[in-house]
Amino acid sequence: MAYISLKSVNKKFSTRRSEIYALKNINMDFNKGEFVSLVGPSGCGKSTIIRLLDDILKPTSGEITVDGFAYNNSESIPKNMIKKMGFIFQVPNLYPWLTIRENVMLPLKVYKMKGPEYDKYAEELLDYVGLAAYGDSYPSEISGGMQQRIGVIRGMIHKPEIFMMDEPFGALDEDTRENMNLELLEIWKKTHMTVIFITHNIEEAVLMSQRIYVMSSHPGMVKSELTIDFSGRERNLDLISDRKFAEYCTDIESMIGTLRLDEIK
Amino acid sequence: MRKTKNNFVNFINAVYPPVLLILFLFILWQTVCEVKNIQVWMLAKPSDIFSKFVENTKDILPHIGITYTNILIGLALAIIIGLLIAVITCSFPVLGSALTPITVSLCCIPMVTLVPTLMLIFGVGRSVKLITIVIQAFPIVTMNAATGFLNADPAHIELMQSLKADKFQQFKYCLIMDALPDIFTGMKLSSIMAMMGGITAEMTGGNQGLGSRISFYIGFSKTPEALSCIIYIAFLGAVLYSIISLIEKKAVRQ
Repeated sequence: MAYISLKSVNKKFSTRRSEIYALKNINMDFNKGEFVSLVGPSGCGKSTIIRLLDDILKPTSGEITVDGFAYNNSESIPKNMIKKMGFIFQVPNLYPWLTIRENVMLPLKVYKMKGPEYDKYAEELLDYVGLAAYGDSYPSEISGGMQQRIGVIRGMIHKPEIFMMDEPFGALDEDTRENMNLELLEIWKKTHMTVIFITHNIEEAVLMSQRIYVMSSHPGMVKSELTIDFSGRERNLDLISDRKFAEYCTDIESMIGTLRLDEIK
Repeated sequence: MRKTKNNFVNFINAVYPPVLLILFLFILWQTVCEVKNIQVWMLAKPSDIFSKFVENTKDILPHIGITYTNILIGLALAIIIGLLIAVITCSFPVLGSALTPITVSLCCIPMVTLVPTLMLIFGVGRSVKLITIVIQAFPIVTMNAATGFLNADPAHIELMQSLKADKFQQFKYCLIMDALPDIFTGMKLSSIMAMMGGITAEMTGGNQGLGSRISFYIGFSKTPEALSCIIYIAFLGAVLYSIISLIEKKAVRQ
């Protein structure tokens, strides 16, 4: 059985006038150590999926299993499960009243994890993203790209096994985004985390993922599933000039394009 | 060295405009009184007020002590009670909706109308003064703090939820810090309310405190003496407000 699995998961949001299916009959599997991206037009429920996995939202129906643990729809998942997960937001979402270092270490405080080894790990991570000199600065004193890097390492300070990212680099300029992609790949190779990556940017998804789920909106459903295979070539920016890379991108692009057309009709 | 000098310059820049304006107004006041030859019991000249201020200090000193301690204790109680009620209001919605109309109406009631009743129940001693101050000052803390808690940044709260922080942790790491600017606004306003409540209670009954002195002097048409007492009240009010503002500058980083 897969490491993470969603079986016939539905999520309904009720508004005063109507009921909206954010997710309809979602079946997904994620293997341990895999890098999987979710792409699709806005409103397809990509963000909702990881919010279900992170137990921020509860599904209307369906089964979710993570590492052998079956989610219960009426109870929140236990602490030892949530500690396996790291969650990265669309925006850095740093607390302005904490220093950069305090922000990075905030999850440890909530999880009551203390000790010199974590202090050391925080410094290592800060150093890794090139911000070791800014530990005592405040978020308002650093740039947006730097803030998002901090957001990313905050999500992994407690050494999670599952790393869920909700369009983490959407607000960054193209250069910074590429750098962050490469940094993320390095981190992934080093830590062997299972990564679930949500993005609007198809190149980004193809460059990094082993598998991509393409989703449609209204209601959010899985349209297709692609395995991205560069026959063992290392993932780096050289791939972008590869013919196969372009093929994957056009494939997905046309898939999403038809989805958009359907919607207009 | 350079930095301390800059601080000094900043201080002077902040202080001279109000000082100059107050001086100008006093001179205007003095001139109008002199030229129009206004009776001293009607409107005292600033010079009369200051001479009485110096002359009276010794007699007034114990009253200043009483008023100042009452207001400080009352304000401290009001802030604690106000914050507690705000936390309860936001943690238990049902209790919150039950309490809100009461706190709001307490905010609107002029204390002059309530103090005589309170004095019938509690006498004219210190306790009634403290009760008046607390009733006058705590609702504004509650209203502002509650606004702060409810307006906390949803993204900040979502981070706590993604970490599965319990209610207390959410409060400690996120809500209270997000609400801090509003809490300080509430405390600054409540320092003003505490001044008004304290003086109102003293003017209404009893023979202790600056308020009672003011009523006494006004009763004998001793306008300069009455007005000289007001200087002490204005002074404490300004000091309290500045102290809270100063703490706010140190504590709030947004």
